[in-house]
Amino acid sequence: MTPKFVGMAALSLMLVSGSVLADECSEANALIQTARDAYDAVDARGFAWVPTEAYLTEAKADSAAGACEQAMVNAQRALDTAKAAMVQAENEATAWQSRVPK
Amino acid sequence: MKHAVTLALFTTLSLSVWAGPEEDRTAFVQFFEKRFPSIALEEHVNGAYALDEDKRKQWEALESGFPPYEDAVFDGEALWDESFANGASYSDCFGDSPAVKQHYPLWDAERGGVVTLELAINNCRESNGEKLLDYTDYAMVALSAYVAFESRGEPIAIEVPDQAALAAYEEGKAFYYQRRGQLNFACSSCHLEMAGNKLRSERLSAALGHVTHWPTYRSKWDEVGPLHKRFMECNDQVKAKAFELQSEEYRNLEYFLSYMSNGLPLNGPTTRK
Ligand code: HEC
Repeated sequence: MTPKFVGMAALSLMLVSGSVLADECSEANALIQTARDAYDAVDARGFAWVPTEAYLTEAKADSAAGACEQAMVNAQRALDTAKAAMVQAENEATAWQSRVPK
Repeated sequence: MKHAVTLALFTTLSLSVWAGPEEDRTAFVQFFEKRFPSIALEEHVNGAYALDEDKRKQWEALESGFPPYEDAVFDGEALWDESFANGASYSDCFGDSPAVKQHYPLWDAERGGVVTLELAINNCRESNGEKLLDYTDYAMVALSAYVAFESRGEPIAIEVPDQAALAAYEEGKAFYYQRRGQLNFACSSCHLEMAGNKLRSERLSAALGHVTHWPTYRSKWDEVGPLHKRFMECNDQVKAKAFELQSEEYRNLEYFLSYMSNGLPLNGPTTRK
């Protein structure tokens, strides 16, 4: 085997295992995207929560490291907090009025 | 008859411009009068120190020596007096006296937005071909510290001149009373409902007088900093994503909050923990 061939083989192995890893986390990556969209929507309304962004960052790092299960856990946390923030934003569209001193 | 109806309509419309904020302010002030019957309204410009005897003593000691904002005021004066490259200077934008803080934030009908003192400083620079200052820049803080110092004693005089201004005021008002963040607090939760109570080691100050003393030296920051930086911190501590310094949200918030303190004397810069 020529060194060149060994190099090529190693390279293709890396590419294959890379795509396998990505495939492995595809479920998590989809959930991360869903959470990201939910976060952007609530951020646009001015009601984003700090922890959502932290969970998203962690989920992405987990996914990149091939820790797919942990990525799912953090993506789910991101989605849950983004949804709760949206409930808050919707309530607060009117609920604030009751707090104004009369 | 037709005229009477038109006239009546017209009066209610113009009343809604004027009466809204003024009614809000009266109720706001009364809230604190009732809450703290033994504290003179003007005392609230001293924040938590109006409500906490021990903390007040420590604070007075700090203020009586060489207060840590002195350099900023001094440097700000030098910057204020400098000429721009085109020969003009800040006095061409603001008038001969730098004692103008009581009018800010103001509604700029032409730009269609709330203009804070810091934004006005940058607008002045822009119209004279100077580069804009970052809102965390020491020069910006120093300039606004100098204007604040020169404006000491002036009563806050915020105006809401028309419907567009009223819309911005209403945005700021809603922001103040809306719960935000994972901890689900509104500004009003801490600075109205719980004002005077202790939160961990801190005494919660009244919202009245919150805008009178900026920029302020805070020992926690170890520097003089702007009001919007405090807004960011208060958002952050309830785990709400903060907005940027001079964002539209914070400018509208400052507009509302300043209107609530109309008539109170300016006393910036000062020191806070
Ligand atoms: C969880 C309680 C809490 C909430 C909610 C909160 N703050 Fe504060 N705030 C504090 C504490 C604690 C301090 C420091 C002690 C003090 O001066 O009240 C403070 C200080 C301040 C100060 C400085 C007061 C001074 O005398 O210098 C301002 C201005 C302020 N808050 C504005 C706001 C605004 C605007 C909001 C909403 C965006 C807000 N706060 C929400 C707790 C809170």
